[in-house]
Amino acid sequence: MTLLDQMRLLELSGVVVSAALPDTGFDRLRPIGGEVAKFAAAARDRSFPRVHTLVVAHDQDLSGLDLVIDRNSNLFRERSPTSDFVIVKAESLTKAIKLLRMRLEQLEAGSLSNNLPGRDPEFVGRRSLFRKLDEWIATTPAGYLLIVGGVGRGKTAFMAECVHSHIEQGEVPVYHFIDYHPSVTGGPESVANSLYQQLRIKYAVWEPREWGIQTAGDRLELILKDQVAPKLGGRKEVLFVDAADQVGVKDLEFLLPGALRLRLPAGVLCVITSRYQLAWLGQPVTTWHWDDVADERGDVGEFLERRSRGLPVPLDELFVKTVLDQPGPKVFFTVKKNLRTLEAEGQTAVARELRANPLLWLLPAEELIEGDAQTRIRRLTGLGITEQVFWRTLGLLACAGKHLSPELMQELRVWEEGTTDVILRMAANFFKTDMQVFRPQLTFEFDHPGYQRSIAGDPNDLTRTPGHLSEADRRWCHSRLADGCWHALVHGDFVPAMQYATEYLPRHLREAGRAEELVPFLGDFIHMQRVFLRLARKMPRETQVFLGPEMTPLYPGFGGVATEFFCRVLPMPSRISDNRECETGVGLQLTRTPRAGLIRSPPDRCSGQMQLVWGTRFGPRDSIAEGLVLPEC
Amino acid sequence: MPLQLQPIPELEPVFSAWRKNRFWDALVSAWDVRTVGLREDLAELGSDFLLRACSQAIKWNQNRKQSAKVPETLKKWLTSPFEPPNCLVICDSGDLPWAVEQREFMLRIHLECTRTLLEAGVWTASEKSVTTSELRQLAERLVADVRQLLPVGFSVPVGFIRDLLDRLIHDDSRQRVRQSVRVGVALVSKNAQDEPGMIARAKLELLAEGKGDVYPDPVMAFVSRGTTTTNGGDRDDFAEAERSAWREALVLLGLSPATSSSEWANHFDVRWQLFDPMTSSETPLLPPRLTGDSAGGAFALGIAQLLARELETALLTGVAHDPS
Repeated sequence: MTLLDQMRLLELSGVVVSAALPDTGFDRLRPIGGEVAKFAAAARDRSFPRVHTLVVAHDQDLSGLDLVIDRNSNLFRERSPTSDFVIVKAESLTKAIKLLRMRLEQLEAGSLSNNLPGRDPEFVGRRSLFRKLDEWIATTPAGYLLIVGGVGRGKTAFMAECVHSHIEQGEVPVYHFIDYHPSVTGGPESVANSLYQQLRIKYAVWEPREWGIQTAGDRLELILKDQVAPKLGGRKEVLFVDAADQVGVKDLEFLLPGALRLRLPAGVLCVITSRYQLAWLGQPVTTWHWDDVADERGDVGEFLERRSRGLPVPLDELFVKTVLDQPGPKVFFTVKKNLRTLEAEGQTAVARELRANPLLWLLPAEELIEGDAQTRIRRLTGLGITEQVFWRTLGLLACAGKHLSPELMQELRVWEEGTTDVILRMAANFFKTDMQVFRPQLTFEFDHPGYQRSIAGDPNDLTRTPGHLSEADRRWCHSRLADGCWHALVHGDFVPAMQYATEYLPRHLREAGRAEELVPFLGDFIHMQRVFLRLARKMPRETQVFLGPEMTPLYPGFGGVATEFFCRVLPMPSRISDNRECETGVGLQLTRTPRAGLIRSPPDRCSGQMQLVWGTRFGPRDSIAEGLVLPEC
Repeated sequence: MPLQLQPIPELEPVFSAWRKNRFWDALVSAWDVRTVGLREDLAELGSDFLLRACSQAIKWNQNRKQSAKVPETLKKWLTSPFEPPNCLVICDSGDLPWAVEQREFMLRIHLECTRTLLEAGVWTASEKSVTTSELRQLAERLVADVRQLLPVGFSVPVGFIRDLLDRLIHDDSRQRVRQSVRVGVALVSKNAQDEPGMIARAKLELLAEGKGDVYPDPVMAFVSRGTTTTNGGDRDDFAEAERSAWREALVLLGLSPATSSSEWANHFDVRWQLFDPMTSSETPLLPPRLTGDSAGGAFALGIAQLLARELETALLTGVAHDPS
């Protein structure tokens, strides 16, 4: 490593240099006047964070100090049972840098993997959240604060900004950011060890020999209780842990209580962020829901406004307002990604679509969803639960919501045996902003009027066999469903339309006894909605729409529903036909790849020159990467 | 920052105006107090008192608050002989002539900057923007104007004046900051009442568009710094330690004088500020005087790190050549 690199990477917090420069010549250090013992005492006892290393000139008089000398390293350690305070004697700055590196290696400062993301220069807003957090820190004597929110909402960005702003103010915050794909940073003991090591350096604690055999969690508890709390003197020590949901906990193991102890000493606080996947949490703590504490509309609005001004063509003000006025959460990640696309792509079809469709600013980014799904799959696989079971559970939850219970899942034979609660929780909070899904109660509520009319008998009778609807009843239900979607759409309210369709349509299928089809259906259907919403705006009124014959075998029982739906949704005279009969218009010739959910339409079969490619949102990476290609009509 | 001073009848008008957030009026009142010296608590406010008063004067003038009579008052004060009141420049607890001289000069610089901004029609940031080159030109002109007023052995870099001008019209003057580091420094206090040795946390900031100068943040303007001349050349020269630190850092990184890399480095300034080491957040440390050269090593190490970090970016973008 060159001197330049050494210099760049040197961690100077906790270091005091007490040496003068020469009158003539360079790269020498001169001793200073005054008693070094006084400086050492000041550095050791009257500084916060504690000074762990004092650099002096090689000929500085160190009398008055009780030192243990390590002549090999030229380090002078003060004889103290608890304090890790070292004096480095160096004849030049070059030598001092080398010795400081050695000292920091001894402290293991370089090997800490606390993983702080770089400061985001585009970070704006979150003022209300910062204010609330400051208030909480000021008014809480000790304890944990959990901030939970959905994917892509900006939790990590907020936490990183929090830490960076503390660093900017000259503080030495203690933090741990768990990687998105956790490895070293993700074990509970790694989290505890990271916090412990940072505290040890910050408070210059000489680790007692007996601590060496303790677990990281024990050592963290000891240092907080014995070394940190007594030195706080009215201040607060706040530990920041980001993405606790990514922590690798085994079955029946928690991060809190576990490596992190539930009781913290006076003056010690811990702020944790997590998604709604709380397998790491064994006891309730003070919890803030992101939607309750973050001023989403204000923050996203400020960001959009500011960044929009820097675009080659700023976003239309009315459009920004439409995006902000949409109900539901604002996904910061998606907003940022879309803005980057607009910056890079200017006036392409994608950019034009982004400027026209507010929905594209609200949906969680597919890579985030997929990454989250993959993390859960890895974790479940470790517990012996297959990926297939996860997808099935996810599909079922998407349509049944909190009405899906372990019992119902067993009834539907989602799995043969296994850890019911774990899979349900893991899949349930994939969607939910509601944490109360640990034990969802089953009540089969069919609030769609079609069901109310057509299902005979007691709706609470779980012994009934699904799939007893008559064809006429089912047809009627589908028709009502399509009506509902169409009404929502013509009134321009896309979000309810999509919710309506995604919630009710799968219920039809489930009731028809085809729950096993829900998983591939669900992902494709969401994409199909998006595609058709696009088509509705692009196609001339006389365009015919047909669905290929493969639809029916692909989704048994779905063909009728889908065609009815799409015909109603598209505000144009459409007809359903075999694509071979279609001379003009848009055709969907659907084929299935071996991977679940990937559907293509070969362009040569579509006389309207339309090619549609889409994949399941929650499907494997390769289908996501394909994305949606929608050339001009 | 709340002003909490013990009541002294002579200073009551100053406190009264301050409490009402009429900082310019507080300064006007202070100017008339000739019987008491600079009290320790007022000194601790440091430049904050002057910065607030002068900023407000600019705003009031901009808002055509004629009753403030800012230009007239400034003209009266700055017309020679310049005779600032003791309560702003001479420490009650005893002071040294060179320290008083520096404080007088800094007070004058604040007022000169205010007058310059008023004459140039540069208003507060919210009303009229000022370009960085305009600021630099104003600062260069001011430095030339006040050269003959400098205390012996004392210098004021253009960067300092520019920061001061910037601070008077903006709430923040952080635009030029490229890098920032903190390092502990040992300070020797010559005041018998203090602990002889104390530790401070120094924040060093690398600023773009500089001239290779090292100078204090305007917040520290009223902390007098010992010079070789004022201290008889007995190695009691804090200001020289600043300059040596810059030279030492360049040499340490191989940015020797008369090389292209050295030229690259001379386009930066370094601004420093001291903080109380006992607080977790940054509370400025504002002793009346800083003497001795013991901070030299710490400053050199900090500046070397600032330049090393900036050099990495410069090498990547081809702005500078690898000194090695």
